[in-house]
Amino acid sequence: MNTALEHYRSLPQPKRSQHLWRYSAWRRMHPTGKVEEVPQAESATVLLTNLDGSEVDSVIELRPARDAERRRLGGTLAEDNVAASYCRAICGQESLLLSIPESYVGDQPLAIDIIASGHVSGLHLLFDIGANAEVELAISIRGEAGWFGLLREGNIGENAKLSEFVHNRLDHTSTLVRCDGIELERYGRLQTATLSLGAEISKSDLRYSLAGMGTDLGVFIAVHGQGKRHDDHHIEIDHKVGNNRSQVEMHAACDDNSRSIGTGRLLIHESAQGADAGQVFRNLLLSDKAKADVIPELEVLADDVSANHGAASAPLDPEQVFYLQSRGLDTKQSRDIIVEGFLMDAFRDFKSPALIDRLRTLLIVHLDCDLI
Amino acid sequence: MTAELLKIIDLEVSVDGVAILKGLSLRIKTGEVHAIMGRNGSGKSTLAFALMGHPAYEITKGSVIYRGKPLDELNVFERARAGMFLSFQYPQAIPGVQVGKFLRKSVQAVRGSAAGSAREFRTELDLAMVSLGVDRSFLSRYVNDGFSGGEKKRLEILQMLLLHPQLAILDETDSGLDIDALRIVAGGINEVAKTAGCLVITHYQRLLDYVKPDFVHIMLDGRLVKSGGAELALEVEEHGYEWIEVEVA
Repeated sequence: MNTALEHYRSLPQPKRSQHLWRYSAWRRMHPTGKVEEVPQAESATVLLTNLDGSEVDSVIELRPARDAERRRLGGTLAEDNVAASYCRAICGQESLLLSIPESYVGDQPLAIDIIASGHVSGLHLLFDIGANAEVELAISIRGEAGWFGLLREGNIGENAKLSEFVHNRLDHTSTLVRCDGIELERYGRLQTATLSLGAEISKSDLRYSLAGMGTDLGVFIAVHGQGKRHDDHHIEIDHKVGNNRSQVEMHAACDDNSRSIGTGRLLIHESAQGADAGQVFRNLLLSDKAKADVIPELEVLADDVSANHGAASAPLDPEQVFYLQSRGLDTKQSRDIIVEGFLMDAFRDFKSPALIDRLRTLLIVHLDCDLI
Repeated sequence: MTAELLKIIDLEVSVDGVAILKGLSLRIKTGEVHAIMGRNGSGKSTLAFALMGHPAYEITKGSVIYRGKPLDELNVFERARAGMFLSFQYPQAIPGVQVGKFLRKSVQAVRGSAAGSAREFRTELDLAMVSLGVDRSFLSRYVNDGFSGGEKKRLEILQMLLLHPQLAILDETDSGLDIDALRIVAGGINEVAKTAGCLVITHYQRLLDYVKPDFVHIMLDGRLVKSGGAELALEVEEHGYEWIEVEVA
């Protein structure tokens, strides 16, 4: 038995009274519902190219991680994190490492295509973004796996910058469990966007540690809920030292019987003076039966900080609809363009024109396909 | 003989059960510019919204005939597709929707096959933007999101130029404009007025220095109480509305 499996089985099962599992019980997220079970998982197929499909620069590596690398980069999530522990257990000793060398500056975005298949599938993906490197990355998750677990851990090196998006377009019958644990070193910058469109049930536990001073983090999430989709995002940001900035902007458009959950936990340690942090959650409710729950939480232990949070849920604005209709768009066209705009607006501060263009295209294709 | 475009007969309109328009009649022909002036709260914007079909504005009496057909048979987008255009006093922001995409969708919806190819649209758009002094960076911004008052009004006029309306209703398009912007916006209105009927709602004479009305109507308490030529606007500018109230009392 591998140690990760032993560790998972040694953990107490989370209670629904816990903030993280309040809306998406671990039993519900587990592949079989029997939480002690750790079924054999198929490895996901992972392809790395440039965003235009060409081969990547030879200095960029996506390869199995060595034990030492796994130990160095793979410990960013707390040991008692059940979902992360489970993902580690099903992936066994297999981890992939995306390694960007120091001072590398990409001239075009990279693309990682993850294809998940089989009853249960998993991927442990490690990042190592070298000091002073700058890279853009588009990650697509697709396939028809019944259950897919994605564990991403890693490190943004000193003065390095990673701009990335994760596009979830798993099959509409799939379940997705995603855990991120990423640490930013001094002056490290991370912009991470999520376009969550696929999987019937999805739980994302995204944690970022601002470990060095002068770091800058932007977390941008757009969720489109349709049918019975259940999409739960928990974002936890830990300001450990001073003069860091973080921003969370999550927009969820919920239709039919879908439900979106956004919970945020912002922790500013006593040692993190000068922190600037904000969380905004917005929900657009498109049907009477759609639901959206938001809990932004702040825990501020320092006294010289700027920290704010906000949440709003509303149906379609009839004045916006009237304005668009007065320009000839029918009721459905007006609604669609408002939804598209609302979701794209989550990425307003995501400063990567190439990735924004791709996100917009992906969203338009998704919304247009709904019309067929 | 010029065709009658719009015929409003004894129109009464309520909002939340409160009567705002109380028996208003007006006829507009293609090529005519009608200006409506009046105090705040006299019902000018209510007329604009009611004509465009805003659901909060209930027609309780009277009728509106547009191009020979009852207007109440058309919902909002059908009115737009039939050639009606409302320039809003306070245009709505649509965050996340780029102006360029919005204009293209709108033109396609209103003009249908007459909208032309993407290349033809771009050419027409470029010309219209140049005429209004609008920078190309406008197109990638979100609709009215973070726009200044003047930028919003220019976008309204840009839309009007591209949609080729047959009836343009301009609700206080001059508010918030500096004198240079006012001249530019007035140029757009005059361009449209060559082929359309225009209903210009305004508080002030200054827009009418650049857009010459064929008729000026004074609205008081939900009714058009006095009509005349362009000189009536000058009289109002000089003497206010009190003398008209006395006259119609």
